[in-house]
Amino acid sequence: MTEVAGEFATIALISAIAFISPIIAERVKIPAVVLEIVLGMVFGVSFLNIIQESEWLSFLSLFGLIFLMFLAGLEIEVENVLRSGRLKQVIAFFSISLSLAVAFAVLMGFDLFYAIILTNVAVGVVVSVLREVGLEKEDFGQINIVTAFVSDFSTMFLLSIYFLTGILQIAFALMIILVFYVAFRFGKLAIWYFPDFISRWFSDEPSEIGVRGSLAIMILFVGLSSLLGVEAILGAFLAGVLLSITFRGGRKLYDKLYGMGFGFFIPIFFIKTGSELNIFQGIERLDLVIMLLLVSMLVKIIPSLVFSPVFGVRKAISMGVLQSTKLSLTVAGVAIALAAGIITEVEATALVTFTIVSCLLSPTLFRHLYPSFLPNTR
Amino acid sequence: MQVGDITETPKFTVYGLNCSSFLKYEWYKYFLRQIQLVNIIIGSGDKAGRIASKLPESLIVDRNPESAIDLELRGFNVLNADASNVEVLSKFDSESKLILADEDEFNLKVAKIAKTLGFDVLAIVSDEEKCRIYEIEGISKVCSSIESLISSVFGKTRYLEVPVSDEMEGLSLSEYDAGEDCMVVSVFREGKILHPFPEMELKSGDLLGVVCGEHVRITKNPFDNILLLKGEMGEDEVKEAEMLAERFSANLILFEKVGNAFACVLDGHSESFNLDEAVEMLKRSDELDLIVTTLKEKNEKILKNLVSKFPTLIPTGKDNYRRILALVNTSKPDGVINMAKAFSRYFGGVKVLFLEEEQLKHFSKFTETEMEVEVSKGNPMVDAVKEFKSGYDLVILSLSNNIGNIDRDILWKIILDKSSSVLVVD
Repeated sequence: MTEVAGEFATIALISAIAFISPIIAERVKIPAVVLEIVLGMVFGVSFLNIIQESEWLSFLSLFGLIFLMFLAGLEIEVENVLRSGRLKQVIAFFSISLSLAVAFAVLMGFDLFYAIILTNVAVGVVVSVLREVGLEKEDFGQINIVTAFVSDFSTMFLLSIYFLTGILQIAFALMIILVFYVAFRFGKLAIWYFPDFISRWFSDEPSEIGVRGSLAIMILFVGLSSLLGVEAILGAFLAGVLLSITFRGGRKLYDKLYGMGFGFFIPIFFIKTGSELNIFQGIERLDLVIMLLLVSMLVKIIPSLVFSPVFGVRKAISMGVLQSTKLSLTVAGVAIALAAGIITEVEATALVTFTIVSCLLSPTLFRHLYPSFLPNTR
Repeated sequence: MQVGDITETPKFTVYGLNCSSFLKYEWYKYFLRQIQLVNIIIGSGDKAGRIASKLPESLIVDRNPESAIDLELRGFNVLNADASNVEVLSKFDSESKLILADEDEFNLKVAKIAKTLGFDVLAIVSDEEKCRIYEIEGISKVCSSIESLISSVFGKTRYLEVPVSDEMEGLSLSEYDAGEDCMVVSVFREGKILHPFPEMELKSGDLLGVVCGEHVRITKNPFDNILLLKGEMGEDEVKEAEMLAERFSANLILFEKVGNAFACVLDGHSESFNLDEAVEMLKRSDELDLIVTTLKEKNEKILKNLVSKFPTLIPTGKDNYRRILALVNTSKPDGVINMAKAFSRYFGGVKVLFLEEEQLKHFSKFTETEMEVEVSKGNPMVDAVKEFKSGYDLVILSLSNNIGNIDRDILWKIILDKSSSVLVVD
């Protein structure tokens, strides 16, 4: 079999896994994302080792991650969150969570990098799980997404700053926010002065101007992030938020983008991530894995109680559990920290194992804890 | 059947009631107890009969003996008496509703007496030019049709069926005057229900389904009094307000700005007001229907304060509203839709743009106006701006702006744009 044929076979296998995952996930009542990672592990280095690394696969997986962050940004309805008046609680949640994580790291004599990792949350998984249970548009879902966004966004910056070596690099990282603001103002002017053109984005034109334009904005921000030395996923996320707050609706276009993302690219990212994780390496530091799991839950469940007056204690705790989910940024952060010599290889393996278990455990626990998810499941 | 003359003064006769058995008593006292709180119709002939047929427990006071006998034969309760005689009216309970359905001169004569006795008086005006005289006499309702009068009596939305007579044959629906409180919602013809439209030709034997009520009145003639906050308003804007008042036959009350206060100018006299107090006072007295004012810049607080009390027009000097756009950008769209219907009636074509499909349930086709309805299919905010930019003389929208996600800055750009006048509702 030629190299290209082998790559096609791998992608065909991944496509098949992507197709059957939601069908099986519905029956066994676990998030499809979790099953995609588990099946990735089964066909990856942990067991069968069929999914092989290739440039194509890496590109599609990276594009899936970017798409995931882009759609997570698109889900944000800032206006609703600001109207709900719960931004203070979201910020309180993050502040308490970070403080607890820092306290843990200091007490245990760990590097502060651990505090950042423990405060982080996988926005993509949170959004996927909330979408699966049909909560992403409800108040609870929106607060969850915004909380995850604030946590992820902040930890992403903290990680960037933690590894940055000079003021100039930090200034570059902040510049993307400025670009975001300028683009937002420009978008509003475009709507006012060129409504005929902008309305074509949301029409059923065969040329799919809206899809092309949205993807162009996404890739532009990703490119800009890379140029400014910021994580590409931050750029993708901001591009999604930009479209969301500028156009403030347009289901038809959004559905097309969701179809592209969740229908193809995003499952590839999750399956490939699963295929690269060696679950057996983590067993060597099982004590650390268990401790990190417990602490990651605690640093999210305790601050989540600030939402108990709004949603009740049970829902607030289920929110804390979901917010403890880790995935891509944790894995990426571990790789960077390992390269920088902040953590050892054994620690790195334990952290990745913790990430996998967290990604499997937290969404599943959430689905069992959330009182009324079953009627909303779709 | 003539029952008998009971008193020398006033002289009245009762038909239709089975009163022979209690003639030996002071029957009229018994009779008056029976008719407490009913509707007393002052009128004669077919007109009085039509009203009585719609109002149960009513008594017709007919001054014409022949007509009274005819009405009695048709099964109505009739009193043959001259209602312009104070002695006649004073026998009735003043809590009864007095419905004047005679000739205007006679109605006005009765109205003067009735008001001194404390009756709630309603009238059907024969000559529209006399409406003003009725109002001066303090008649609480001046109804232009039997249907709207019936609705006023019941005080709520009511459905009636009106047969089309031979005289109405050939009229178009738009020529049929159902009254300011009523509108035709269906036409029954030869066993079929037809959807009414303005050009529909009426045929003798048709049955018109008519809905009456305050809700309908708002859509047909929403403005009786318009307050013009002149301030620094230009001549063209003032002319626009005058045009509007003329078109809706409304009174234009002028407030001139003097320093930080407003002065009400009426009949050559002026009095200074704090605007907030004046608006609050007008709201309480239920005397105002629309405010016309200009805004130089975005001021959410001032506009919100005005709009929470009255619809507010921001004019741009239009001499007519040839194209009108109604943006349904609120979860409570009745205000926008009612205004759209009213303006459609007086100015012609109105396009109603629903920003969410679900809002369509609030809309019912209005039979006597021309309205084009469209639902946003793409992005609601972009569709709204695109439609606005296509050129309208008047835009009707809601300040609550909680449907369609129109950005607040964009909403204010529409409000302050000089290309269209904007009518803002709550």
